[in-house]
Amino acid sequence: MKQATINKILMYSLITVCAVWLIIPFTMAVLWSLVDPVEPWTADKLLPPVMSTYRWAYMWENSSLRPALFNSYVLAPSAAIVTLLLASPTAYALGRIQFPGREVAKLITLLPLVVPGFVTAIFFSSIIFQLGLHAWRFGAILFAHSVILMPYAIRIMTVSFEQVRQDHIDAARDLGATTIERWKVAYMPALKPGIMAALLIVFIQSIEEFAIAFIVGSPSFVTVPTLLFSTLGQDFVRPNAAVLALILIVPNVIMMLILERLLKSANPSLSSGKG
Amino acid sequence: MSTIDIDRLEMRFGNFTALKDISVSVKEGEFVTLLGPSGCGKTTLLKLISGFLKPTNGTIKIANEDVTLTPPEHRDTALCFQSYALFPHLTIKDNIEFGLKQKRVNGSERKQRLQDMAGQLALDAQLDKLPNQLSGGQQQRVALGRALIMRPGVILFDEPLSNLDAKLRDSVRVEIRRIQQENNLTAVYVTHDQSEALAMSDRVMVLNGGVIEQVAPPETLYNAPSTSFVADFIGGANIMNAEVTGETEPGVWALQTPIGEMVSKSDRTPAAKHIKVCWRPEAVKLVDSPVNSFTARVTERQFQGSYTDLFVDIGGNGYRLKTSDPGIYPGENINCSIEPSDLILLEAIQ
Repeated sequence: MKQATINKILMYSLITVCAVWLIIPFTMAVLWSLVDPVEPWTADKLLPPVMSTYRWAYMWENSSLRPALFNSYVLAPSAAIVTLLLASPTAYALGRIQFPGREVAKLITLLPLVVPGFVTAIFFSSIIFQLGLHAWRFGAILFAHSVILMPYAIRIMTVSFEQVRQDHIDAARDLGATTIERWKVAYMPALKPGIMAALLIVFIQSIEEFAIAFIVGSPSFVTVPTLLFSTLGQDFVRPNAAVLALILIVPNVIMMLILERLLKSANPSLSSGKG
Repeated sequence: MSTIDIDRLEMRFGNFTALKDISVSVKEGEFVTLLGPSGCGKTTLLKLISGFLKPTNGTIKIANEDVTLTPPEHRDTALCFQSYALFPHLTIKDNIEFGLKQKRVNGSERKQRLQDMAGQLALDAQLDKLPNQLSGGQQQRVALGRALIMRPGVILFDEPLSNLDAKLRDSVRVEIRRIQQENNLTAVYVTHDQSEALAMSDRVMVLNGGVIEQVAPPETLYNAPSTSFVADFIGGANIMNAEVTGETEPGVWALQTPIGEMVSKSDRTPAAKHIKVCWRPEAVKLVDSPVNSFTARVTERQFQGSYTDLFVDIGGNGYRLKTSDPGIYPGENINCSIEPSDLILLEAIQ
């Protein structure tokens, strides 16, 4: 078989897989969210017989969607910023300071990711209750998210700190730059893509996080995922769940596209190391 | 335009001694090269002068001011990095002006100095570009401009040409030397390339294993190396063990060597009875002479164009000759001689 033929087959297989994995569930969610309650969408029909935005309006009016959106979209950016601030000193140490056991330390910071989220959540929330931090539920969840998502931020920022070139720092210093100026000219350009990536990943993880938000927050503090999971309970209404699922997904997709843009527009010479 | 005075400098990293007992003075406007193989301590010495390292012992003075503990940002030195270290996100203009901005030099003077510098380095057309849009030679010039615009008392170079291709290297080398002389800059230049050192320097400091082997003008270094390391590192040499048998007349020493009895005419007094001596491959004359003559059998010949390399056997030992006569072939026996002043006395045999 010719190379081109193989390429073509692989290409089409990939597109098929992508379609099955991404496009079909997404389309289904959109269709389900548009099902009008006057006539149900039964298995014998390819498309819903009557389509309307009734479910969207209904969820907006009759569920805790509004406070949930507010909570999620305040919580996630706060968690992203707090996590980044907490992770940066460790990342600096792991990325720029030579000390014995550095590689082991790098590995250990990643270990929390091995434990299933729910296990961490249950025991982490018990610590929060013991510390008496649950009184301010938003703060407790923010604290928990920051701690639990820190491995991602540390990992990303460590790599970024490693990419800062010592000769740039030295050159700035040799030309009389103060500590702040050295950060601006030598560190920040190399760290910027990492900072964006860390913020975004923590944002997405936090906005999708269910276990801690549920255990610590319920019933008074709702986020979009806790709301979504509660609609999956005994009064499960698929169209309503579809609305919530889409609300959860759409901003993430937009954020991913923004990140992609930012990373592409970042100075290519920084990643190639030339110049 | 400052002087540099280094006194009994020592640098240790843990148990490793990188530099030992370094004392040297550099005059105003002088171009001094630190030359040596990798790991000899030349870059460490440069980092000590620029302030990125603090010595274990000893002092460094720049313009008669003790700067041993002064950090690099407060020293009147400017360093040209091997990697250029241009800030990739800043334009050429911003790169060159960076140091002036740190020093809060006002806008009109900054503009004036930038124009002068861009003119001098032929960078006028590149000022709005980013470093990665420039060729290696141009980037090198930007790095030079960024250092020179500070009008430093001392300019330091850390192997600035090692990332350029051979042809470009020659032209940039001429340019660096021209700018240094035009501005009467005191310069310290690190390299491992002996031809670079010989071609550019007022004086060369040869380092080996953290100690100074010799500090001398290039001509002296070549014609009168003081150690076998220098003799071999600069230009190549035939080094032999010799026993000093006496002084036949003032400044003329009789020697017993593996290629026979020889005499050396030298201002130096032999360091011991058993010393090393050397002669340059091109110092050999292919004629008989009453003194210092010997017969050599050619074992190998390499034609190089303007000269021919001959590998010869003299009494069972291998040596190297350079001759302008391309008509000598392996197997031939040739009569050779060396002028007594071309037989150089080196250090004592340990």
